[in-house]
Amino acid sequence: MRKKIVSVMLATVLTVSMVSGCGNTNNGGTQTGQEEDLEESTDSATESNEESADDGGDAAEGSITLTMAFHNTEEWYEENMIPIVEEFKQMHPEVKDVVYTTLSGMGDEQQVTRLTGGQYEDIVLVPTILLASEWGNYFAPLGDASEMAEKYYYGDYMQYEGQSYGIPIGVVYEGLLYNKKVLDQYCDGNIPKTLDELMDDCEKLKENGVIGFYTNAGSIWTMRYWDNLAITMSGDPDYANKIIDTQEPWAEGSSLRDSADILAQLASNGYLEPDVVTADQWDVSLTSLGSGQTAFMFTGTWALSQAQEHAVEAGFSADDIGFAPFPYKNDVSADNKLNLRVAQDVFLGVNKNSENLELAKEFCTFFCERVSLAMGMNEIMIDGGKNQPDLEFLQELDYVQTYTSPARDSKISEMAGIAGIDVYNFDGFLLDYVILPVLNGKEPEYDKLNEAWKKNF
Amino acid sequence: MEKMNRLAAKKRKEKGKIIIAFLIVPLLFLGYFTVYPVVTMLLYSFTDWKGSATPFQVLGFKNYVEIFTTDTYRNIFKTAAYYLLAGILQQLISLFLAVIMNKKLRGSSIFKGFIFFPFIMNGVAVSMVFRMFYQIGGGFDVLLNAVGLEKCIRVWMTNPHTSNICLAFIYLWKNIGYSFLIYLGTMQSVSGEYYDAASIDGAGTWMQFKEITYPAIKMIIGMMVTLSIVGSISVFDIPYVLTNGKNGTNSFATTLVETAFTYSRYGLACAMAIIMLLIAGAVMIFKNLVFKEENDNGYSR
Repeated sequence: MRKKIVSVMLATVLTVSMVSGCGNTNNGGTQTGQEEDLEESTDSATESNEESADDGGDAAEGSITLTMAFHNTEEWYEENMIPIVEEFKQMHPEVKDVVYTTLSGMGDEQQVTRLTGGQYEDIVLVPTILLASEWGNYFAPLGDASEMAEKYYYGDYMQYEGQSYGIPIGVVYEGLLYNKKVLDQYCDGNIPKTLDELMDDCEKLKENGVIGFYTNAGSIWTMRYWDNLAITMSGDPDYANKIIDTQEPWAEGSSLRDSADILAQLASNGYLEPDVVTADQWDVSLTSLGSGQTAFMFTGTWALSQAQEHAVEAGFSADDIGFAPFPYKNDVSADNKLNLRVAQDVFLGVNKNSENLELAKEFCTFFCERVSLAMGMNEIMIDGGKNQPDLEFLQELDYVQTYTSPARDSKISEMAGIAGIDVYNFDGFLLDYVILPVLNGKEPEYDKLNEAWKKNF
Repeated sequence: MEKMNRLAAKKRKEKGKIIIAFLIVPLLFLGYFTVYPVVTMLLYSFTDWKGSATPFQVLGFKNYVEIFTTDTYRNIFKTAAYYLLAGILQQLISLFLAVIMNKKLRGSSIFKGFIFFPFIMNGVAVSMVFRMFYQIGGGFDVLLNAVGLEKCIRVWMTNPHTSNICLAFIYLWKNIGYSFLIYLGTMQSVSGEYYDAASIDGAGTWMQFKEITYPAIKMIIGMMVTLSIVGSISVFDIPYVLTNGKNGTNSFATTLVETAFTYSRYGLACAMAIIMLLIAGAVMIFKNLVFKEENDNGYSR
């Protein structure tokens, strides 16, 4: 009898220990080791936060650890960001350290999963695919959107119901990266100022076996500049938001169609790279540009320094890679200027459950104001923000004018979901509906695009 | 006597308690991690849920209708056909190889190793290797050049006629080892005496396969075919890594992931998952009908 009681008790103990072993890993931090891959930093942060809460209000010197995560590597952070952190620590002696976690190689989907899991840093990247209506569930509002807009480029871009949820880490220009050496060799050094010149250059390059234009369509995210080109071509900064009320956004004569037509023209003339489908060719494309096998790429200036590095690796000089506005029209002069879009990059937001919310907000702003140049981008301040040294010449060109576009309506992404077209997001649809049909000898499928979009009405 | 009965009853009762105590935890786990998600998924599949706390509307069967009426989603079945074909080819080749390896050949263990090796490798790693293999000037082009077939070289992923075939080949190459191993293992469990007896009676290799090997592995063939049909719908890593599901290579799983995570249409994605589940279920039932277990046959298991 006693034996049986013992065995039942043992079984109960086992059961209970199993249950308790599985639950509540968050409280103990490292107790079970099950969450080892949830960066140690989070653990140490919660611990120190608890400590500071115990202190009761007035935080002692060096007692607070903030945590931060975005997509650059940890090495890059160590090399470039420590001075910013030190400067902040001098202003706020209670801050002990800012622990950085890299999100490098983590896709947007994973980042969203991370947010929904509830274990994320005080200052963290706002995933682009997160719906605007969701921001409030994870991020703290950083201030009134219109006030932010006066202070920063794209300060109101991440706005929802009048509040701003993210600050850009820098702004870039969207245009052509080109290889000067190749243009000197085959096109008399002519950097295209008009659309015809671009096509002429590409024709000459094609005759000489050089890829005119590397679209990198297989990587998908690299295509997002083409819809922004439609905004540029329309001359209306708010053009993107008009798509909400448009039943046929790709109708004849629309800017969306015109910008896609430039792509279609490049494709049908055979100026594009031969393999437009294979995924994840970003580094390949940069090597191709840097080594002179490709002349043009359409991307943001944030890629300039990367392309220059690749050029140096290929044995050329960094000066061989230059930037020019995208020549989307033919009559370009001081009176009829080319628009150049000042573009947002990624945004940092503040964890709404952060233990040190105000401090985190302050650091987020402080950091974003200072990080840009090291990221290869222009600074975000509208007054006194500095340009990258390589891009200062743009301000002297009389035929170029810059503009910014207002925040995008959150309805666009919802409508895009229903249509199954990632318009004004990654623009992967351009590959299936424009490039591939043209390469297979057909016309771009604008009718199908319009039809899909009509599902929203 | 009565006392004995009471004691036995008490014993049974206690035994029952122990069984419950031990089972409750695994059952809770099973319920929470398997049954609960499937049920909620089924419920969400009738809504336009956007993957978060935001309220959603009940749509009824609208999601299911959309899947069967939209080109992008219908293309899934076309893609699945390529992988299904590869899966069947995989069964034939691996069965053939297993029959050969089942004979006591010199160095057969080395060959077994070679055939099984691709299966051990991680699917994403294999896909990345093949991404380089199919690139312009990549391994495949070099191979064709070396054997003098320059004329056959295409831009493999961009050409709409070759992209799915190339991807299905990776699936075939990777999974052959798995079915080979299962077939071989089953064949080796058949006693050699049957073959000896058969060859004394004058049965040739084909007769031996037909009368001894085939009945013994019939159930396994059924299982492997089922697995390859289910596998052909759910293939994910290959198209995702090589083409992102572009150029008509989107499979059930890549489209599902895109629908859920790029477009935040979790309701629709749930409906797709339910359809996938239904297909798998239907295949299972079909398999059980066709490959009925025959207990009177000495070899069946």
